[in-house]
Amino acid sequence: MRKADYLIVVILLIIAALGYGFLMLKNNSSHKILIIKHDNSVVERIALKNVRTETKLAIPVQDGTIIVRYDKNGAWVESSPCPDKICVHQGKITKTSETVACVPEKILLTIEEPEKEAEHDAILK
Amino acid sequence: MRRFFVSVILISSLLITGCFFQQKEYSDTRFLMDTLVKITVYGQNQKALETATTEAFNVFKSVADATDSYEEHLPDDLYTLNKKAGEGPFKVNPTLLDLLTKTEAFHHKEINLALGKVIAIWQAHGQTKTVPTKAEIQAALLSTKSGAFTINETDGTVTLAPQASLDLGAVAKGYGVEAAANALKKHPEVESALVNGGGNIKVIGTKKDGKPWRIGIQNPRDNKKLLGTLSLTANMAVATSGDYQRYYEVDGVRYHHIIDPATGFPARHTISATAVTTSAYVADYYSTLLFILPTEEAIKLVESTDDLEAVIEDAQEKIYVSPGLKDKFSLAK
Repeated sequence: MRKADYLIVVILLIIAALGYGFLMLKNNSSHKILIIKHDNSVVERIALKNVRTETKLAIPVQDGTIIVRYDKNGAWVESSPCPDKICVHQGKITKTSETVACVPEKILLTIEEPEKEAEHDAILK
Repeated sequence: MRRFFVSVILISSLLITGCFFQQKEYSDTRFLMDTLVKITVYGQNQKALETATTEAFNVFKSVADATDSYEEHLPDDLYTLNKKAGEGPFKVNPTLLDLLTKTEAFHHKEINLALGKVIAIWQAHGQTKTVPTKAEIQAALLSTKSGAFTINETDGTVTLAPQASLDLGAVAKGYGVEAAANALKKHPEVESALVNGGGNIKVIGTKKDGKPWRIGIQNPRDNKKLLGTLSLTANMAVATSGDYQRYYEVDGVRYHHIIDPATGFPARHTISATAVTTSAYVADYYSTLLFILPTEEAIKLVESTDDLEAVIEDAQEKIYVSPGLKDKFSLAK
């Protein structure tokens, strides 16, 4: 084998190692669960580590529709028909136990980290 | 030595391609049939996954529209049919006709699709947190007796007796989930999928790691805990009916939404019934039926019905797991 061959092998190995490392990091991301409640009943539980793309969720509420968006890092209220828009101004939540609430429309977003949720593809309620 | 390097290159290439051609996931959630419906699909082509999911939601929506008893969506939907009670044969939407025909073919008296009037009474009392009197329920039960409705499959018509009113809450969600799953299957780009609609789940294909789908079933008496975990293999469906999903309490007594047609009051033998079979519609039907039946009868039915497995927790919180699920269901610790 020539020198160039060795070089190719080394480069390939580095790329493979980086790819492997990337995948490991991805798998090690936390088991955070985004919980969305409407009038105290849970409307959605989302395992954030499984979220690949930013997702829009439209929730019908008393005065119209609340638009919630979430990605793998957290969630935020994009728009709400409520008068003061405190929920929209609160911005994105990303840490465990953080919440965004829209009191007039009775919507609550919260991030929790229970072990049991992450082990399942879906929960039958 | 050369062979060693060739192997190294081959393995590296495999690892690299593994990173490049990773299966993509697409998921969308919508409010339909008064519940949250979530569709998650897996495949290589993001655009195709989105198209398939949108189509599946459209199919679910068409089932929701045809079977809604509260609001008019179509000229031949359930809402309109109920309005035409006592007016002779009425030509109904094909989806509605199919659902009614299939459900009537089961012939279990515990699933009565003509409970509309009784359910309406419970809903009105739920608003004011009061309990209807026996007389009130008895009067409404008269509209649910056999002959409340007849189906003419050839003409595509349904005839409702005067006062009769249909409610498809026992089966419509499962039917919608199954219809949405069938829509996804028409797209070869969808390698695997999970459709979850208000207590009804259907899985398509296997997960990319080849492991079974893991479905948690909520503990009926502690919503932070699970009753257990079910392993679901390709193309199986599961549905749970419980007394903890929709209910109100008066003087410490829970009045939930699953009504025993024999009494007109909430069924009391069971607190959670999970049915596992191949169709989400059939799973929905059986989860309601197993919930209403006395537990011993429910167990007998499970053990004498092909392709039906179940997990039942009775009112004494005793848990029954059918033989076919022994190695597929694990109780939560």
